[in-house]
Amino acid sequence: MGGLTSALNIGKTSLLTSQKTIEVTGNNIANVNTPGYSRQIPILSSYPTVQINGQSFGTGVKIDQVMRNHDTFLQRQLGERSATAGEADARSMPLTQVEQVISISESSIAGEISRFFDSWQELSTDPSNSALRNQVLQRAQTLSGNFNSTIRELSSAQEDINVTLESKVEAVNFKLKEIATLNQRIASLETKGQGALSDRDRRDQLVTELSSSLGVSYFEGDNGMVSLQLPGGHTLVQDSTAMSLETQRVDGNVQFSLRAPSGGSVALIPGNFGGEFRGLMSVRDSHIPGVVADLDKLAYNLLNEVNTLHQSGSGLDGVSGRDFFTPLAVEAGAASQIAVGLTQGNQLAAGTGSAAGDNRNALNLAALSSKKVIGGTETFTGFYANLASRVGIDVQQNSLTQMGSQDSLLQLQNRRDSSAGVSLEEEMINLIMFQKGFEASAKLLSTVDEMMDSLLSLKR
Amino acid sequence: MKVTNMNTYRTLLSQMDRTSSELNQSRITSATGKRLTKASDDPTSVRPAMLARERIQGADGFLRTMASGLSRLDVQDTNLGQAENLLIRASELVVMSGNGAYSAADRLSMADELKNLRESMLVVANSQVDGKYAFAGYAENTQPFSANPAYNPPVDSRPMLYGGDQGSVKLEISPGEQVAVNIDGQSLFLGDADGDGNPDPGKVDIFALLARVEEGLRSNDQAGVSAELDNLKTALEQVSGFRSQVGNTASRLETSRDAMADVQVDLKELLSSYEDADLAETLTKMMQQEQALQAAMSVTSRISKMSILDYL
Repeated sequence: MGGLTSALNIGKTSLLTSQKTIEVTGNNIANVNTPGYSRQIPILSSYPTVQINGQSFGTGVKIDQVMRNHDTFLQRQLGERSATAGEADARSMPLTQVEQVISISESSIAGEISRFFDSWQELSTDPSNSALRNQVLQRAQTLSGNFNSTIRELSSAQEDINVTLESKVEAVNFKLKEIATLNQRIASLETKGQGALSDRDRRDQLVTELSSSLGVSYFEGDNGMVSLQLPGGHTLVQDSTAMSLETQRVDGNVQFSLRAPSGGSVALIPGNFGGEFRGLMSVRDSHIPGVVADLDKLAYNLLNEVNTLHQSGSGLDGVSGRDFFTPLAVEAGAASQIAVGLTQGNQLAAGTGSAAGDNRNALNLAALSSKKVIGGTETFTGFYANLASRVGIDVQQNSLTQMGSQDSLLQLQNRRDSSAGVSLEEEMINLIMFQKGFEASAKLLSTVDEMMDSLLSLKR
Repeated sequence: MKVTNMNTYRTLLSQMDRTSSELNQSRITSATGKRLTKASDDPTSVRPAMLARERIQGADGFLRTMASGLSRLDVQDTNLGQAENLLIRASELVVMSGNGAYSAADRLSMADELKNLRESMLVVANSQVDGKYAFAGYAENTQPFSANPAYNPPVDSRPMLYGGDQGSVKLEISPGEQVAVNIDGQSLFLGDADGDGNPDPGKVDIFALLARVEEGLRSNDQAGVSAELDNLKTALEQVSGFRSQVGNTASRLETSRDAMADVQVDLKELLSSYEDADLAETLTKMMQQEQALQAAMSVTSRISKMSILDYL
């Protein structure tokens, strides 16, 4: 009788285990599209054998634990790659915006400069013509307006970046808090000997997202909690404590500081960040100011060269020594402030003297367009063309980096999925396997049942 | 290596994204005909393309300048031709007056004609183009020749005074190349290039000459009038010298204009090589990309049809 009961017991463990394995498989199938989900596998083992009359007999099967397919190496790589991809992605939008502003079309600043000098050339053919004189003034106004609006668009691109940074902070802080909470949960579940598989999946996913936005590095302690750091070494999450990012506006630009729950706060510099934040801030702090400085240099040189020549000539009204553009003392900010100082066509110094037909100064001014006046090596158009081509190279390089890092990120995600992801085919085959196991256990039970029946019918 | 569903869809999606964005770029390229619409399309072409465009625009300016210079020279050529004709007629009258068959009364009417010639010469000298005096130098709003109130032959033999200046109106016809397109009225009509108020050696004051001839005819001074014939020849040479200078300048402008137009064509070709798309290449590329996209789509539909579930 003991034999049959233990056979029933074996059947019971088999039936329960098969049911559990089907549940695990079902859970895998259910999460086939869950991002960051790691495929779970039931680890089966047999119950200890019992010794009867010196022989060992098995006593059934049990699930030791449910594990997740996980590759720490790939997960780390995924984090690092996400940081690179995040940085390139984040730079792409504002860089494109800068490229659009530094246009290479005929309506670009370079085109306006050419048209401005062309109008002087045209004036030289008929220096007393008031229509041509007004045309010079209008072209100059369009040109200085173009400088001013280009600078405005560049600073609005900077402002867009600031707003983007501010809007991202809230999500980052939320994720930091969630990781701290997950740390706490995972540690407490695992010390009780329970698995925290989906919590770990969720935490891995959050860490990857933060790598993409902040370029965080992390390590896992013995207690199963992860610590998160910025590339600059500042701790973001320590065990179950999360710091939070705060923003302040300094001179219009967003600056960050890190606040501990205890209340202390540390100021962060852009170099402390990685990922999207670094990408955005590098465009805001180095790229755009570089372009603005070049435009200032162009505007300042143009303004001074034109003014110097213009002062040496005389207007139709006989007044000489006038500035054409409102003079500026320093180069910084020249592009945003450049403005035409003259208001009347007859104030234009087309001639060296005030005679109506004197066109000598107009000729000199028209010739400025082909003079290498910037640093003695570049014409105005050449200088602008260099600037535009540098901006183009930056955009091109960034888009190559972006494409490359997206490719390798895709490869890594595929590699991760092929070890840790859910394949429907695999799950289906496992399902069949576990179903057959379940059917066989049921058959075993019914066989034992029949055997018991035959045994009990002996007494009748 | 295990291929999960996510792998397949992720790869397909990224591939389709990329192909369709490339296809979109090709469509823009073939629709605009430009392969260089923003700096990142080809950063190395930006500088040569912009410089070429500037030079094309500059060439337009030079062509306009040359056209205006040429029309100016045309008008001057006509004026100088008329001055020549007036002097030739004056010479004819002087030669005729030497004929003994003419009486003093005939010479008086010749003197009247000569007076008309002198007045016509003044009209030529004060001629205007677009309301501006042609022979006044830079002082184009000032009438260059006006009667000398102190005119009194032996003491002050200048019937006309020059009110313009000696400005030489130059136009730039190619980078760094300037040509003078006006004639200094003082040296043309008064033979006074240095502006000291008296004719330079070997030159004549045409108005004073005509006045002397007229006076000679009126006073029936045959010998005096004939003596002026050489001076009239000099005056004619003085005018034709300037006229041939105008002709030379005009032909130089025409040569430069043709050269500039040629250069402009070359520059346009150069610019086109930097910024225009090769349409055949673009269209071929576009067709390739369309095929790639179609292939990717048909693969996607096949994947969704194929499932292990159908076989279980």
